[in-house]
Amino acid sequence: MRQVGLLVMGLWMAGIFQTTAAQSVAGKSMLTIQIIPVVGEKNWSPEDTYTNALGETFSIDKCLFYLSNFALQSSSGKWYPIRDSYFLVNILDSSSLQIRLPGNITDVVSIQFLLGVDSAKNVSGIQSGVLDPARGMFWTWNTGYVMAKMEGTSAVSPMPGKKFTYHVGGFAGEQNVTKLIQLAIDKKSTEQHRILLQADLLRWFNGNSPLSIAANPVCHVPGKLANQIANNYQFQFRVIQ
Amino acid sequence: MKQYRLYITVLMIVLSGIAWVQADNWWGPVHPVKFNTPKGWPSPVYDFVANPLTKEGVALGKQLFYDGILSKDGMVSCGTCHQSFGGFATYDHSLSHGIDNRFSTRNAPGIVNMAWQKNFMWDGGILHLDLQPLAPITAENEMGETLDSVLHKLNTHADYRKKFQQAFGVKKITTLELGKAISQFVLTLVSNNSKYDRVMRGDDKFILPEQLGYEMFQQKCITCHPPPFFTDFSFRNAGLAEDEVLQDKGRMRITGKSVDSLKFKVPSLRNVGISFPYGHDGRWATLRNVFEHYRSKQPRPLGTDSLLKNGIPLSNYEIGQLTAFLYTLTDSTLITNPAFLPEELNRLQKQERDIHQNKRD
Repeated sequence: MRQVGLLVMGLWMAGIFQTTAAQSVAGKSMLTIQIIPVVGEKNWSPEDTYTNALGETFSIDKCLFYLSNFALQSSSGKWYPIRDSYFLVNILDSSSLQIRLPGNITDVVSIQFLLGVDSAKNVSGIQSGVLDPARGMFWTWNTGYVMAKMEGTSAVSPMPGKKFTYHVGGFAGEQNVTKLIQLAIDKKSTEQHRILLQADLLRWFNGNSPLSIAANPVCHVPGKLANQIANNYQFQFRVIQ
Repeated sequence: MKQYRLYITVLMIVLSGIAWVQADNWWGPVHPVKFNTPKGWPSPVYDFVANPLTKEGVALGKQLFYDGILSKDGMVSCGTCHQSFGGFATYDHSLSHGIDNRFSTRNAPGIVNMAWQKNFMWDGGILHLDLQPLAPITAENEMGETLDSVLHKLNTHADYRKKFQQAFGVKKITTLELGKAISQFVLTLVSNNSKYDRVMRGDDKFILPEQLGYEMFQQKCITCHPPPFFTDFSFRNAGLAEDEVLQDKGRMRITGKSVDSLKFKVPSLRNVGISFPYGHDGRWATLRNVFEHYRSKQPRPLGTDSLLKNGIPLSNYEIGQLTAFLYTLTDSTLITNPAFLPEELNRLQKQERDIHQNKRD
């Protein structure tokens, strides 16, 4: 009888603590990637005006992109993929600029991630969390994620409100804009479990084929222009520590 | 002493039970619904493992399907343009009617037998059935909503909260459950009970014009409209001139390839007799108009499907027979099945009308 009583009591307590327990599972040893949005040499600020390689001035109001399929490489050369690693980076949301990965590996020499969302997640129905279509990074009329998005204003834009809007997406065949990024990590970062990663938004415009806001103020479909922008912005990342 | 301990134990059990239910942990068991593939049909392409049909899920999907809550002004539901009496296509409207007196750019197709379809819309742009409702919900000329706003409305709606929890075990409704619920209802819309199907099963017989039409159909139409779905799901340019206002490039809008210019998905001919007008933009009011287009000997625009290059020879007599056959594709059990009709309509039909009271309800 006594055992039954204790069991019931135990279950009752377990029920009460269930929620708290679930929240404390996370933690342990983590690797944090701190993303710092910059434009050229300066930290990004919505008030500042910048100039691209074609001499066009602009400011950036909004910039979001998906980073997914992270993998860590240990000094032995072996890659450790991190399952279900999907992050939506939003320069307006400081919490999204911190990417926390389970960091069981103590000797990380490089990291790898996909800039965008893999095609499997594009074609297998509705996803949740940061991949929820309600996040506004999904095309409902032409299935697929907006892998990266930048919006702002420029004096040279012919659009209403002098706006420019670049919604870059496409995951299949020639339209695929996802980019696999690999970056070497220095020892100090590994020791501190912290990588400082600069995202230079100027690289959206400057690259092998410079992007002209005057000529192309809008990109809302997969295709040539989206590929051009993605080819530029794939070089936006730099490890600074 | 022993008894005292027993009382305490019982009290604990009762309290635990109450606390658990109070904490919204409880939801009733779901009742699985079996999806039946009609005999002789291929396996469905929809992944029922990822979204198993349940009585609760299908009922919730149906409630959402007929509820204007998904639209900005509360007036437009899925059922507004996918009407049961039109074979779940738009009845008698060329273009779908959205909020604020707006038109969409296309004719809403019949959404039956969706479990066998790989991509959706006239241009095939949508790659999963669960994702399909998000397009009309967020299109500004259709339901004009945002997903955030729809989810907010549902999450603050006690009845929906309860039903989503019952069907999917979630406390917070997200896009995922919204899509799954609507899919569950839509998947049940299987049309396989037309006269044609009964004849094929040996339960009925064509009358002479239907039989002659059936034979002609096999010679002249079946390449693009093969049974059992009466479409091969391909994208083809049927030689329709581009509408100057709509400027709809069809499949090219999705692939970006010029070879796909003005290609649209071959529509199913199931329930074709009740789903007029016809064509991706509903430009043809009657079947007769469609036949006239196909038999025309006028030169076709560049890019027209090679099968239609020289037109399909059809005499008036043959058109009559083909029409008789196409009418056998109307599934009267589908359009009268109370399981598929809005609950309000079912209620009204059950009520006996008192003709002496000048009230509609």
